[in-house]
Amino acid sequence: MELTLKYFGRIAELTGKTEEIRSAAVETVDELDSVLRREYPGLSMATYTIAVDHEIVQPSFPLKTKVEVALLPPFSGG
Amino acid sequence: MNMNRYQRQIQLEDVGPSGQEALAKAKVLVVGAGGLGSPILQYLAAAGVGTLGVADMDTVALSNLHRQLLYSTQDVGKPKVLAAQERLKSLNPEIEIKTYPEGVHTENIMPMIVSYDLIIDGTDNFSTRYLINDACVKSNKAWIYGALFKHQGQFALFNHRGGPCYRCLYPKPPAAGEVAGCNILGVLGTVAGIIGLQMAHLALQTIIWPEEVPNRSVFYVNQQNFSVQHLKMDKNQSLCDNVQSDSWELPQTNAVTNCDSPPNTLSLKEALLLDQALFLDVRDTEEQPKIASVDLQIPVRELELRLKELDKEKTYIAFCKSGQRAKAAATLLKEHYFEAVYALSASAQHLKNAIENENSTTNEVY
Repeated sequence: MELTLKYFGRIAELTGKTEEIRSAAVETVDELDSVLRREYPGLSMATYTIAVDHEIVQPSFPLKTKVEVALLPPFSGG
Repeated sequence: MNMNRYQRQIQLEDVGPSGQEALAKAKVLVVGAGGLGSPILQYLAAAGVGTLGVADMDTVALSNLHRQLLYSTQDVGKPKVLAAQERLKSLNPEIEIKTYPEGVHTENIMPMIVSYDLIIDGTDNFSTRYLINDACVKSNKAWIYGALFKHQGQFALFNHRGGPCYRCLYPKPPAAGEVAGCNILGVLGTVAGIIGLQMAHLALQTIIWPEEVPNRSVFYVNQQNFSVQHLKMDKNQSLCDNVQSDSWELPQTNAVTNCDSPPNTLSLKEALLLDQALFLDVRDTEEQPKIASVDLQIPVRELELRLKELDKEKTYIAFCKSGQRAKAAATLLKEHYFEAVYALSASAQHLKNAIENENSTTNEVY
């Protein structure tokens, strides 16, 4: 399925990009996360939450094609 | 209350005299009077929020002034809460300003927040943020969150009218040193101002239109392309219930540094007892006080490029003003396989005093 992935804050630095469109044979957010962690090993040390089509979701959330997935780390500065 | 001062906002039909009355009655506590806290305090004071609390333990530094427009050059060195109080009073003498120069910590937060309707987090560290979250959940207070990462920012209203809390978004704090703040990464004053104003606006909405304000949303702002992502989120009811229960203890913050509590942190006493250790000043070169006997100085943001100046066989104790950059430096050195690195939890000033005392004692003996 085709997914638009958006990376925020430090996650964009770990993946080296702010956005990418890719196809992946995954059915849930959790499976997609595993694929990304394999490709970008820095992610396994990072804290982030995941949103699908602008809603924060649980790892078991089923993915449909053409959705937008965002990886959102916490920020600290003030 | 001189209504003429607020005429242009009262003119808005959905604000009106009743909206202004709500602002005048509101009691808002702003924790952290820095890059976010400054614009929040200025705009809430100007809008006529009746009682403003300011909690911050820091003093004004020259390197604050590009983003903390609440302060002037002549305020450098003054406690922030006092400089803020003075400025806000001259901006709007009709409101009450309460100051908490000790900042917030585990012991004082519950009695402090009880007299406020809304808490705003303008701090720069996770330990205080989780403390504010948990204390607000336990006290059933709404709070506004905001934080920065370089040209990006986040903000949200939490624990308002049955909405989610910060732990519903991020259940646990990241590892110490994982996410750096502005002192290390740097920030443009405008980005701090934009996020601070979004938070201030959210506060006005919460006070004037409590039923309409978004309480299940988190916003991500990227000033590089001027985008705002509006993300919906759900409450994690069992997690919030847990935090609310008596068995859930408030997280500990270090009252002295307000830093994320890390491994490998040394108190001043421990640091001075450590044999053969070298002190590493990770502050910027212009920061005061200077300590003549310190072994090395490398600002934390240059550290990664200047690792060759350090020896992996040696023991280093990094220090800075608050302990936060020292922790980041220690974490960074650990990542580069330095084994004996520590962060000093005490400030450079405390270290200087201790070294000078030690020298004067030595002189007396010999």
